[in-house]
Amino acid sequence: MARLKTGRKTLSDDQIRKHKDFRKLRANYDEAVRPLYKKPLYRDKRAFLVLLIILLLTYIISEITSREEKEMQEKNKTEQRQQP
Amino acid sequence: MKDNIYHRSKEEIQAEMALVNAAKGNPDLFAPLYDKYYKPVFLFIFRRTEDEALTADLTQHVFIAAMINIRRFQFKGVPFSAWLYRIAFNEINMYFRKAKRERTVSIGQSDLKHLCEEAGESESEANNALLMKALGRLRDDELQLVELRFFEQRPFAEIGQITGLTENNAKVKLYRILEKLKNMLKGKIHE
Repeated sequence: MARLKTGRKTLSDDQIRKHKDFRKLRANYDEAVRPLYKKPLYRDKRAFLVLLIILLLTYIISEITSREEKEMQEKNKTEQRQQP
Repeated sequence: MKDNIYHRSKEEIQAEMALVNAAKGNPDLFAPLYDKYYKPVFLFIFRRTEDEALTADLTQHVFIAAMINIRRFQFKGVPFSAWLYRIAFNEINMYFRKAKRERTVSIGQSDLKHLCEEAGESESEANNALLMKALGRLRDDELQLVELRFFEQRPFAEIGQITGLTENNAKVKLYRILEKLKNMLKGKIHE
């Protein structure tokens, strides 16, 4: 839905001109068309965060599996000792 | 000699195409097109948002999209400005859909007078109020067509290009909208 109102707001040429900046546009264009692999990872906050989460998850999973393996080995050892 | 489309001469269209072709090969050469169309695009968006900061932001998006897609632009009798307005039209619609905000339609006193005449009514305060009420009953896409034609006085070919309709389809739709408005005004609004 649209809001209808009578009377138009106007802007002066100066008010419009102050937003005009081709250099900024050119920089934003470069940013938009630059391939992802060329962007340094530390500059892209989101990619950096995703990578950090992946590394953290990998570390946690590897820790859990190695701990489980150790426990299994110890359990096997104690079972072997208990057997006559 | 003036071309009948958008009242531009062949020389003007050729000069513009030369600018477009230059910009296709080198993004730095987009600057003359940016200079030429910044203000019209800014005002096109501002009329629909009435928010200066938001307009500046959306205008920036429009020109980035234009720079990225300029290679796809081919002259088919429609000037480059209409292509830019189409991008702006889509950006505005996308913004309001995402933000779930109401779009502003600001109507000048002369626009109301013009529309009253088109709807076959004389201009008076009572008729203006009725017309505002009737406009409020139109669907958003219908209101957009009314805006482009009666408040901005754009040619049908340009309206077609901006909204993605054919020129004839835009004419037919606007004729039907006008009939709908007339009926609402005659029946003192029921639809």
